[in-house]
Parts: sequence; C-alpha cells; structure tokens
Amino acid sequence: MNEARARFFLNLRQSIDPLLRVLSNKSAPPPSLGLAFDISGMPPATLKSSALTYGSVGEMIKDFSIVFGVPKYRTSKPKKVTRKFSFTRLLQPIDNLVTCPACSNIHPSDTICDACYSKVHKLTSEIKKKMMEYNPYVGEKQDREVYVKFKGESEAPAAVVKGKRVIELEKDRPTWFKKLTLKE
Amino acid sequence: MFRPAAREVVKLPTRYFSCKSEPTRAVTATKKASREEIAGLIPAFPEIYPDFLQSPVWNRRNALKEELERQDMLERRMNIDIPEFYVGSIVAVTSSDKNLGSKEHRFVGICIRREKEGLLHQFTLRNTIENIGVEVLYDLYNPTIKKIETLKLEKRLDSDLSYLVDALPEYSTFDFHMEPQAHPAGTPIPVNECKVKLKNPPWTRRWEISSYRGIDDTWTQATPWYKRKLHKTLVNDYEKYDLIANYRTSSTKEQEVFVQTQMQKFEKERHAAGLTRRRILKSAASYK
Amino acid sequence: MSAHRVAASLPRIGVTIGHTPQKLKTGGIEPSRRARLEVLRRIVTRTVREERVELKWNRAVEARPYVERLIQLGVERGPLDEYTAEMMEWWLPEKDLITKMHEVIVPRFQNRDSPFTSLFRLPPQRLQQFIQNKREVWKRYDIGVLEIDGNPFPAIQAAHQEQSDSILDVLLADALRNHQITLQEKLEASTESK
Repeated sequence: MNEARARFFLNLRQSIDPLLRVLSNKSAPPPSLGLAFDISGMPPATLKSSALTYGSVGEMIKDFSIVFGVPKYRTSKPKKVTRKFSFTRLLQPIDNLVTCPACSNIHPSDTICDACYSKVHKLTSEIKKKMMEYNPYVGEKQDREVYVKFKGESEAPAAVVKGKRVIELEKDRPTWFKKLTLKE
Repeated sequence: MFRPAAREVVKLPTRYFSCKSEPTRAVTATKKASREEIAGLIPAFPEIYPDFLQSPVWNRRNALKEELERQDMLERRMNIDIPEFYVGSIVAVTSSDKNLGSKEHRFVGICIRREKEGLLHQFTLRNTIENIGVEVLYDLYNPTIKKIETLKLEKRLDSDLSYLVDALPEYSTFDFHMEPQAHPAGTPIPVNECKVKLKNPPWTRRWEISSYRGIDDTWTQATPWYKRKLHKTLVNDYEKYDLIANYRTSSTKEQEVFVQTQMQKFEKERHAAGLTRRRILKSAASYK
Repeated sequence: MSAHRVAASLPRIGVTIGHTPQKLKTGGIEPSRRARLEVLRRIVTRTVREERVELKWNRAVEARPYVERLIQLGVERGPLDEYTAEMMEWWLPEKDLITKMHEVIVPRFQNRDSPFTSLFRLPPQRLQQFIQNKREVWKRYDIGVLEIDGNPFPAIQAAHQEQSDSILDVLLADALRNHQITLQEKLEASTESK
C-alpha cells in the first residue's frame, strides 16, 4: 500500500515537472516541487525498477480518477430497482386481441378493425365530399336524404330513391358495400 | 279543496287580487301525450307532484329510500286531502296548534316556493298582515296540518316567487276570508301573466340580473352602484344551453310513468278494500 | 329553484353519460365551462353537418349525449316548441343545419327509441403532429367514430353474417351453394331451349 502511494506521487512529480518547465521560460529547470513524503520505508531498488512515467493519458486519468466527480452517496436498492423495473419500464401483455372475421386483421377486442375501417373511411370521405357540395350562403340546404349511385349502375327505382338527393360517384360499387334495396 | 265537478263561479264583491288572470295559450298536444292521457297518466305530473320526483342531485337518488318515502306519502295522502296547487296559487292551510284557544290556526297566502323531494317536501305561503309581510313555511307531510285548500288555482310566469319579498305589499296581500274559486275541470290551468313592481332598493337579491319573467323593469330601479358593478359580475347565462346538465337535474319520463302507475295501483287497492273513496292521482287540466 | 317553469320531462337518453362533466379545452378561450360548451357545440354542429365524424375518443363520448338530446328534442317536441327552437338555434349556429335536423335527421327516428347515434372506437393510433427542425413529433391518439344512424355512408361494422366456423358447416354451405348454381344454370338452359 505504502509502495503504491509512493509510486503515485513520484509519477505525479515527474509528470508535473516538464509542464512547469514549459510554463516558466527559463532555461534552467526549476526546483522540483517540494513534495515531502516519507518514502524511507521503501527500498530504493524497487522505486528505480518500477515504471515511473505514464505511457499514455489514459493511464494517467485512470490514476487520477479519485480526483474527478463521482457519486457521493450510495444509490439505495429501491431506487435502483425502481429505475430498472418500475411500471413505466415494464411491458404489459396485451391479452384482448381478436381477429377480424372479415379481413383477419388483429385488433383489440374493444375496438373496430382499423383495416376494414380504412376502406370505409376512404369511401365515406368521397361521399362526404360530394354531399358537402352545396353553398349555404345562397340558400342551398341539405334538406333531403342522400342516395349514393356508383358508376355503371342503372337508375334506381323511384320507390327506393323516394325523392332523395342522388350523389353519383365515378367508381364501381365495392363488393362489400351492399346496395340499397326495397327490403332494406 | 279543489273540486273538479262543475260549480258556480262565485263572483267576488271586491278585487282581492291585483293582477288579472288570463287563460294560458293552447298547448299543441303530440301523439305521445294523448297516448299517455288514455292510460290515465298526467302529462303535468312533475308540476303537480314535485314531492314525488327524484332528487336533482344525481348521486342522491336512492331507489330504496324513494320507495319507502313514497309508501309513507301515499298513506298520508289517504288520510288528508292534498289538493293540486302550484307556485302562484292561493292556498289556505289549517294546522293544529295546542297553544291557541281554538286549537287550530288557518293561514291564507300565495304559494311562493315548493322545494325538496319526498317526505321533506316544503311549500311557503306569503301574505301581508297589518302591513307586515309574513311567510310561513309548511312541511307538506307534517301530521299537524289538518287541511289544505286551494282558494285560487293558477300559475305565475316563474316557478319561484321569492321576489315578492321585495315587491310592493299589494302584490302579496290576500284576504283571509277569500271565497274559494272553482276551476272548471278539464281546462288548462290559467297562467297569471302579471309583472310585479319592486320596492326601491336595497333588495335581498340582485333582481336586475336575474332571469325572472314576473318582475317589471328592474333595471331603472337598480342602484347606480350595482349598475356600475354589472360588468364585473360573472353572468353564466350560457349554462341553460348545457343540455346534459339539465338532463342530470330533471326527472325522466320513465320514472314519472313508474310512479304514476304505482299510485294508480295503490289507489285501486284501497278502493277495492272499501276503506276509502279518496283519489290521490288527479289533475284539473286533464280531468275527463 | 329555477326562475322559469320546468319543461315537461323527456325520456332517458340511451347512451352512457359520464359521472362528471369533462374539462374540454380549446384555443382562444380560457379553459372553463364556457369553453367546454364551445368545444361541444363545434362537435355537435360538425356531426349534424357530416353525419359521421372522427374525434378524440373522450370528446366523442362527451358529445354523444348532447347529439342524442338534441335529436330527442326534435323527435318529442317538434320544431314549433319554444325550448327546442332555442336549443337548436344555439347548438346549430348555421341555419341550414337546423333545416337538415328537422327535415332529414328527425324524421328518421320518428318511431324509434334512443340511441340515435353510434360510437365506434379505433385501435390506438400513432399520428404525426408536426415536424420541428427535421424532428418528427408523433403522438398516440385514441380515436372514436361518432355517427348519426341512418346515414348514407357504408356501414362501419358489416352486418353479422350467420356462418359457423366448423369445417363441416362450411363445406355443407358451399355444397348447397354449388347445387343452387347448377340448378339455376339448368333452369336458364331449359328456358333458352324453349
């Protein structure tokens, strides 16, 4: 232990000396820092034989590490456990997944299938766009029900339309969108 | 007591009441309303029987408590005739008082408030006696009440007439010896559209910012101090548009139908037992 | 005690109503009960105009009873009622929507009980909010689809098809369908030959 300490301070002195030499522009080497340590208990042969200079900066930092910022107190166990495994870090299993009977998409059981809904959403937006083509500022109103007619469909019977406002879409009727019949 | 049978209207020698009565506007009956009338249900049930409604506070509605109280209320109504009256009607109450020589006391006044549900239902009568305004608060189901009579059956523009406190005394002056006026059965309850004039301020409340319809021009009478204060006053008149807040405090049709059928059943049972012929569920407007 | 006479009571609303009014915020108004009503009014107006809208789940839940009540007022009281007219005017600030309410939406529900609307929940979605200094900001959204029933759009949930998952049932149903098709073809061939 004693030996290690002696070597450390010797190393320190030898590292600081050239630095001081550079800093002071004098040609003669300055007097060494008066580090007074009791190294009498150490055999001089050991001191000479050991590596007294640092090979690299890394080595130096390794020895200096006690001088840098380090935790002052030990982190308690609950804190460590909380940091690693608190409820925000744990992944909850999702156990309410179901398969959509129409498209086999997997979704939570309390929701609708979003793959099916995206199709519906697209068509809804198209119909909505046509439905909204009226100008309320010139007295136009949505005062009738809406009947959607797709491309290539023949005129619907009057009993089905019943005075509804017919909206024509420039696309074929999707197979999943059932046609309005008399039975409803 | 209100008697639905046709009766000669007594012509009063003097004008007791300073406001003129006008028949209410005809109500357009919908299909559903007529269906209810066929079943013997009363469309104006919440107005005639505010004591049978549920609490306006949602989480205080307790079916068991209501049921138990309803049983007691029906029993009481079998023993005393509680007539139909509204806020704005003129009512006479005879209650027993052991400290009086006659052992009973009769008070006549205009009903200005009806509050609370169930057995705790209260109504307040107001009259002016020797130029002093007197308000008497009665518990409807108080067993010391001997008799309740409706002297004049009518409504006012508001369902709360607390502003009569600050009104001129002539608006709450009624004769104690007033003859009861019969209401022709089957006709709608008249709404007295009179607007009262308030006394000069100070008032008990800021009537100038209230939405009461039965007060005549409060703004001119209000003091300049309150007028200046108006822009600082937090007026939340948009609250009336909150449909669901309204729904939370009001009663539902289903509940009313349930209570009415229960009352009908109770009445029928008692009539079948031959103990009484008193009718509990009745309405002057929907009498046939 | 209210200043005015209570209006005749209406039936129950057949949808869930939260036990406490939610605080809904909007830009431009300080969060308050007024702001909450403003948010709800925008949603109700939009729902009546478009008949199917996608909203944040909590807003959809909160706005749904308001839409229900408004339709119920139209169904029970009709356009001539004073209270109904006042409410319609406030909740639907655009005049053409009041017309739509009374002429299109209310007649659909004349002989029907509540609920008049449907509410579907979509799986939680991650949507991009904005890009700031090449940094994409994503947020998780719970989305509900609120719609007024009887709208012209394709149904969100297809009608439940009566079919069994058992392989025997599937094969039998298929065989029957094939049999029917062959019968149909034979019938057509016979009518053509005649």
